[in-house]
Amino acid sequence: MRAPARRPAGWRPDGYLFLLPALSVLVLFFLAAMAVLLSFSFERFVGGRFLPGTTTGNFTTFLGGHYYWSVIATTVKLGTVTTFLCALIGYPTAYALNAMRRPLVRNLGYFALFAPLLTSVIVRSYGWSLLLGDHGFINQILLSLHVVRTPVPMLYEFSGVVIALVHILLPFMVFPVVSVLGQLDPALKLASADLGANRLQTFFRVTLPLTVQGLVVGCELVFALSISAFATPSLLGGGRVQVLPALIYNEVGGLNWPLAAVESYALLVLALAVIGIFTLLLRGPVARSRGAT
Amino acid sequence: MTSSGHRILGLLLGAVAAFMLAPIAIVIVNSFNSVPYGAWPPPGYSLRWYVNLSQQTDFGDAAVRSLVVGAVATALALVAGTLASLALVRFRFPGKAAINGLLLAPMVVPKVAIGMAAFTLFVRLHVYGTLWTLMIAHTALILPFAVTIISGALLRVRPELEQAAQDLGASPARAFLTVALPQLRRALVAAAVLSFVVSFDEVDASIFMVSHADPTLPVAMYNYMQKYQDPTLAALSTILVAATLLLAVLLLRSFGISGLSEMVGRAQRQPVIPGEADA
Repeated sequence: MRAPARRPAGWRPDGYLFLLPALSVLVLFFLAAMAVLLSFSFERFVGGRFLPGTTTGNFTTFLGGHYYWSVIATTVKLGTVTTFLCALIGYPTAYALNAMRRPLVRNLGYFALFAPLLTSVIVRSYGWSLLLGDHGFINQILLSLHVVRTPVPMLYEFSGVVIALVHILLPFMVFPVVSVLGQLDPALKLASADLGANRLQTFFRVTLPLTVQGLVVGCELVFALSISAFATPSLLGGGRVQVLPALIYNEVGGLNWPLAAVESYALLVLALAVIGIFTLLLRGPVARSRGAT
Repeated sequence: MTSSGHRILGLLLGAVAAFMLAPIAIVIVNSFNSVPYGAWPPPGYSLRWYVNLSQQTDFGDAAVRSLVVGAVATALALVAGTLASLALVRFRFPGKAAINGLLLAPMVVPKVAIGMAAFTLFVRLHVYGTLWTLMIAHTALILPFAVTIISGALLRVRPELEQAAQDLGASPARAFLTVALPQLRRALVAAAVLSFVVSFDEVDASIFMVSHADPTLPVAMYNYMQKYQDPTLAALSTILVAATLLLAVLLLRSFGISGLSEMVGRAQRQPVIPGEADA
């Protein structure tokens, strides 16, 4: 008879065997591709042909060009504005979802937020191109209500890209906030009210500090996803809103592969910087705000 | 909560729901448009764009390509993901934290960077544009979702039952297949659906890996939208939305709305993979 204590107590090297299929995909494809990408960034490549030898010229071209810095600035601006708007809309939305008691209303809310995630980003971007154009739905409504005299330019503008990205990324803000709101002990609110706080005070001194973690996680996700977004900015920006992911794709078409490799690593560094900053926020001020209450 | 406060929250929720569904609704209306431009309101209604779509074999070929890639990548990711989850949840070994990080890395690296990296790798190996390379790339992209969902469920499967099966003479593999696997069924279905949807809709990385002549469906739609504005795309999108709704209804029947949103919510977040002491 074997004792139950036989189960994983010590090292189990056969664990590696179970990891073999997953690791071979990641090492032979993912890590190998990232390594080849790095080697491409040092290639000398002129007019669609590789020349012998290596160079750091691609990096100096990228880091020394005003144009590339303006693209990075647009990318960061797009991420910042999208994240801010998503937080502004997403937190109250999550709060409302959590407050709805009737299952039908709640479920319809979940459906409206969740169902678009299953549809293609291309379909949703196409929908926004129909809504935002000069003859599109929104401008025709605004014109017929005499709110504006001439159509508001939104399609192929920064504003249109932001509107569509807020739509696409809002669920990523709402879900983390809803999940922390759901874990909040309702007794805390009652206790706060019993101690004489009004509803606003209770919200700002109890609910918000205890759920700010979900908000920061949502901001991290939305920021990282919006600076990496390719299809929406390139379809709705019409070439006028130049962000890093679209630039990379254009370099490939323009046969400047080493520069595209440098820009890919720049995008990766940007994404990692965002994650790093938000991780520090979560460990520092956010953790303190939870502890202080 | 007072009723006026509740009403404001209800109104807010209604407005956000309208905002979320508006672009999908306008695509459906526009697919029945009688004119080849997207002006509002449509001057008339017709089915001509559906007829036009049925005559475009390119979209049909692209759809088949996307279905095949999605099915193969999902199958590979489920098998590799289940085995990896077993190792992460049940075994202890050196380097577990690093391996865990590597498994989740494709979720952190921007898709465009992965696509560009895949492009350079495939060009260098002279395999650019083949369908099997896309299958492997998609497997890597969806593996984090599979591992996250399956390992989360595996944590709740008690090993004692398998231990009992082994004590009764079953081999460890048979004990896992007959005792643990049925308990993982819901997680496996969830992982399969999510993986397939992510693969089927993937465009940011795939656009670097497919040739212009043999695109996947989302890439074909992207290319079409760059060139034309007519509602053929609306007709195709409407068919895709209908298929998605069917899928959503099937999922709702087996998971319920809260289970479904929890599943999606969990997959967005890098999970804390359960380690024992060393994680």
